[in-house]
Amino acid sequence: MSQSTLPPNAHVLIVEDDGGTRALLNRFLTENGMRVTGARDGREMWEMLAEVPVDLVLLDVMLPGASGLDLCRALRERSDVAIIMLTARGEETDRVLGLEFGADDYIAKPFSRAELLARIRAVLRRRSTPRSATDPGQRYVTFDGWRVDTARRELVAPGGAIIDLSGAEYDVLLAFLEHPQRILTRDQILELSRHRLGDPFDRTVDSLVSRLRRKIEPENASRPLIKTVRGAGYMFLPQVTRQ
Amino acid sequence: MLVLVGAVILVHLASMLAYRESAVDAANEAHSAQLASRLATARRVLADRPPDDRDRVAHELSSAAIELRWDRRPVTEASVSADARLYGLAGTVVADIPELAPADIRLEYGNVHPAGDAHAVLGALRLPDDTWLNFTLPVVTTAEPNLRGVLLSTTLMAGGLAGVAILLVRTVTAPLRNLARAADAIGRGPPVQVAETGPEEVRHVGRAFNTMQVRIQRLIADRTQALAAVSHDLRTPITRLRLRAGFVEDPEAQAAIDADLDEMEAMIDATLAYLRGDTEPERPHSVDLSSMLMTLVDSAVDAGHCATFEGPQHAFVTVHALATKRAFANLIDNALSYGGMAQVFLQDEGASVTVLVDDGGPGIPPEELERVFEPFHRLDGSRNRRTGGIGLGLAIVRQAIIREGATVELLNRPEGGLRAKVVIPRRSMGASERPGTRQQGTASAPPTERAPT
Repeated sequence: MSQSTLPPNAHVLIVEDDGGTRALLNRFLTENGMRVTGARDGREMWEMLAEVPVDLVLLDVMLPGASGLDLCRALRERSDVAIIMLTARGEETDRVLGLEFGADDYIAKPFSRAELLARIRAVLRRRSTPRSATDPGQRYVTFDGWRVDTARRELVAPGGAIIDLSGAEYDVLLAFLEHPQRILTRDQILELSRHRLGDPFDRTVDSLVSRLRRKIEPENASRPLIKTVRGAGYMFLPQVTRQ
Repeated sequence: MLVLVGAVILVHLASMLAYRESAVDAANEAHSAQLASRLATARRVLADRPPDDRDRVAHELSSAAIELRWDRRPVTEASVSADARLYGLAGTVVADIPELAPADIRLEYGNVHPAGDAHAVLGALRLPDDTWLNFTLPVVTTAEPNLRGVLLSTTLMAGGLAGVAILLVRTVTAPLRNLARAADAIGRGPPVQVAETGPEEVRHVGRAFNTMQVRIQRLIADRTQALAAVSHDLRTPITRLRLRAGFVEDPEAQAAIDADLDEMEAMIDATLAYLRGDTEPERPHSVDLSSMLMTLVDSAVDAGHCATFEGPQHAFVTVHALATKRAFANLIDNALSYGGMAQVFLQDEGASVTVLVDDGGPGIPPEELERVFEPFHRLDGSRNRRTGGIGLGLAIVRQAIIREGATVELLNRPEGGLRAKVVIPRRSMGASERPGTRQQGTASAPPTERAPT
């Protein structure tokens, strides 16, 4: 993850009712090179959005008055601004609904500082790079009988069963799905992987690809989905459609 | 119930025996008296008639029960025999006709029909002028056919009585049985309401039981809610502390604070996971257990642990995905924390899927194998408290596994180390795909690379 691709002085709007958390988030993100504005609730959020351009909204789910989820949906209807939901860990419905309502990502409270920073940067970077040719606005991506629900971040096998993927595996798969039938180098795959967290253990692209293959390719290797291009990288072979 | 039926049968048999005796006696007596009086009347009437007219009169006096004729000779020469019934009959007749001497009566069994099967009594009474009133009693068995009817009707009655008694007893005991079942089910699943039926007292018990269940339920719900609320709300100060720790200059202190916060978070997560338990809104879905276990094992390997997975590429089961994943994560965490490594095996048996999580630790005492599943139960001594959390790990495992209709048990492997064995039944067949195919050693790291936990 290279910071050079980040827009300079991205403006983050924090919508959080707890004053202490808001102030601390403000200070933490400011120290990490962002411009930050705080809002206590939905009303203040709309006021701020009307006054200044905002790159990313950090939106708490538990808010007085209109809930964060409602705000997320309303916000998405009116604006294309990047949204990250702050949910309570384990509240699966909040997470899924937030993503289905158009949030770009979510962070479960309590989060680590590194995770917060990594996710904000990943979303900002993704927003700053031009969209790929196939429109990523569609929720479902299918290939060879498989289906990816990009809102729920789920991979569904041809039989309908959910295949468990780690976050990194999902990101690598998505990189492939955005560039099918094209050779991707290891560096490109790294760059395309959407939210790489500040993980202290280095997983190489090769090991991620091999783990992914183990989960989605037929065992007898008669019909590989991901082809290794010697000396170059990898190529995702199946046709990819979005719906 | 059995005692009741036995008693009814016994009483029935005894009363039947007693009745039989007395009925035979009474019937014989009544019959003899009746016979005697008829014979006495006939004798008197015939004695008054001229001899030419006697046979006609005798004929007219005959009936189905007795056939009378007049003759100058007795139809039988036999004096009263030793047969008890004939003797009794003769005695009654003689007693009824005072002027008759015992020698004036003749009685014997005879066959009136040529076929010879109808038993009859032939008899004769001497008239005053030394002629004879002969008579035939067509059927001598008086009480027997009657008795069969009695036996039949009383048996029916006893049977009916027993049936009614059984029904009554069942009505009384069925609610009690239900109550026992419901009481047995408390704390092992959703509460079972008892139907408030049966007699008044039993209804009372049922009602009291139901309200007690509701009270207990509410009590538990209140406490659970309070604990969940506290755990939940603790996340806000922890979030603040996390952010604050970022401003601590001393990197060592910062790391220490973060480590403490990690521990607190783990406790809160475990508490909430346990409390949420059955109330989790997640719906069962078809998931690939193999890929789930691969993800868990891979992430352990990435964290520097020694973990392996062995099994088919896919094993589809219908479960609550999150809860199931948490359960296996806990089992693998336990294996890594207490046993230094985790070897995960998956076997697809078609009707069920078996997952084994083996570790390389010392195992646990046999008497603890079951108790470690109890919430807040912890093994002390050899176990490292720092890695122990708050003793909810296995309780969460059992809760989640039982909810899937699956089983989990711990075993000490003969070759050393602890084994957790989970058997998940398939809710519907056909979800299985290519059972039995295997893939070897998918993710492993040499033990020497193990990082401190």
